[in-house]
Amino acid sequence: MPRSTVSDAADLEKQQRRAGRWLLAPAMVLLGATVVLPLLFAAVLSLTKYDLLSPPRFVGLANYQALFTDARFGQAVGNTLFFAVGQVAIGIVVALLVAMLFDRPLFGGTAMRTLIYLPQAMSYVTVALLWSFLYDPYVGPINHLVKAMGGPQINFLTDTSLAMPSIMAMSLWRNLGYYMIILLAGLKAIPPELPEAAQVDGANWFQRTWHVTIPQLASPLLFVAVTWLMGGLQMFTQAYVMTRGGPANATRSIVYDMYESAFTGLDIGRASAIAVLMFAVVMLIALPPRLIAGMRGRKARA
Amino acid sequence: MNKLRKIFGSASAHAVALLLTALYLLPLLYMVMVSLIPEGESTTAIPSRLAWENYPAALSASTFDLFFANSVIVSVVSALSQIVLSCMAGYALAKLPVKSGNTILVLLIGLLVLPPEIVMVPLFVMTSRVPFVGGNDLLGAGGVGMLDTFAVLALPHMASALAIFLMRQFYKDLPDEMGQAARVDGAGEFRIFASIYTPLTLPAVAVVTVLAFQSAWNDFLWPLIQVRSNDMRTLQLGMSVFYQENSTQWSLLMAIVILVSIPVIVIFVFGQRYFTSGISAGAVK
Repeated sequence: MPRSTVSDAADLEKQQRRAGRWLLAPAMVLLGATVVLPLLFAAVLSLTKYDLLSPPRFVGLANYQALFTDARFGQAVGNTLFFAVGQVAIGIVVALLVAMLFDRPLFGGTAMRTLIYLPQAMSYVTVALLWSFLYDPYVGPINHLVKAMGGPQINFLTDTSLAMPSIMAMSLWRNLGYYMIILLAGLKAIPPELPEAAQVDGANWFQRTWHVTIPQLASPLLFVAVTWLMGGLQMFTQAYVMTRGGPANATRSIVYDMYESAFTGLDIGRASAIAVLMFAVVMLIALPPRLIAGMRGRKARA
Repeated sequence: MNKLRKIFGSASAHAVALLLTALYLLPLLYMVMVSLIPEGESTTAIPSRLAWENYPAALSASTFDLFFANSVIVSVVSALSQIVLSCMAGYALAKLPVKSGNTILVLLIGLLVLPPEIVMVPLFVMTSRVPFVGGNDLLGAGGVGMLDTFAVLALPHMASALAIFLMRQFYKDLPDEMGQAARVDGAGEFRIFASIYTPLTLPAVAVVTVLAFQSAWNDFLWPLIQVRSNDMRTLQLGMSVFYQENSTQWSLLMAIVILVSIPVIVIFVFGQRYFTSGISAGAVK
């Protein structure tokens, strides 16, 4: 029995829609249950006083008001910004320079690149343990070397002004390779004629880098800056393992404050309010570049 | 003159590269050396012999074999779940007419940048309040709910917006004609997904595998929050507890750090070929 092509097409469309629904559903249900629902739940909990034992009590915006006037939370925000912005500011310059170094032919370049890339496969706990040893004032090799040269003992993790920079240096060491590789891929995508032409025109290395390389790298640089900043704002494990947020709260981060509010202070409302504030900040920082990139991509394809 | 300058430039580039290599190689080599120092010897001198016995000693210093098994279970379950779910969802979003597909895509991009820490506290409350489990009553009160179980340990790593997004991009680049040809031959939609397109996605699946395994294996905050008993600890959690209790046992600690890092490094080196092109493709485009 011959069927018209119109109903065939409608039939296929129906089949495809059904297949699409079934293939998409499990992932969407799981993401909904583990991300979207908890996020909404956090917003609700942030309006309550809840200690996990007695039922939550509605308190309005009291948790937020308390956060904005809390000196300890203010310190945590300051510490986190110092850590995140500092790491990105130094890191992006170093990553770019290292990527430019590996962009030229080097003897053993691939092996060196892999080596620098390796630590980012390791967990923060393992890297933190390694560096706790390297930083150790009595048995660590750095202090051993400094003392052998007649220098004073450096208390990397117990000096209030050194603890955070020390954790920052360690995090930079771990993360550099990942971002360097992204910038390197960006460099390889620049047509070699561009810097060559600039060189013929008499531009020196600095001018070539500033006026040719960096503008050509705009989108990978933006990606690296935003991703690295996001990572820095989530700092927790390093401070937990190496310093427990100390000395004197010098390495207490926002996530550390959230963790302690919830599980030491049994103040789920305050912890949820911190989560909601973080969500708002992250969306403000991360979404505009993504949306711009997405719109640009759509225009370019159209 | 120009040639001389080129040689000088190349030599100084090599010198800087060597310095950089030292900055990475020395800490890692030092870690290996300290892990092989015999008990009682100084950690700042070359060891008198290589104490390989530190490795089995480190493993039995706590119940690390158990933690190892826990981490393997959680990581393998997470990776398998992410591979299956992201292939299915990625294919649907790339090749099939999905209702409000664009909205879903925008939502996924939003989730892409979401720090996982944000949902940890509410997720803890939710999983500890599941009714009738772990001593809970109808209202989810009284007990620990689903805390301290493998299911909840793996839960935040079972699906990932990034993995779905990566797979979707990969399927999108495969030609539509392959599916149309198979349809003419009478293949159903699920067959086309499973046996025509998916076998071609190995490079993207490799990237998803590395990312999923690494995120589950290296996770610290979620096990810290939800694990109650020693027997459910993962390696990362077990290591941090061991460090708190034995903070001067550096040889054993470094041996454990090395043993814990080997699986992720092996998986990472194995998947690196696909991985570098994968992450950079997302960034450069």
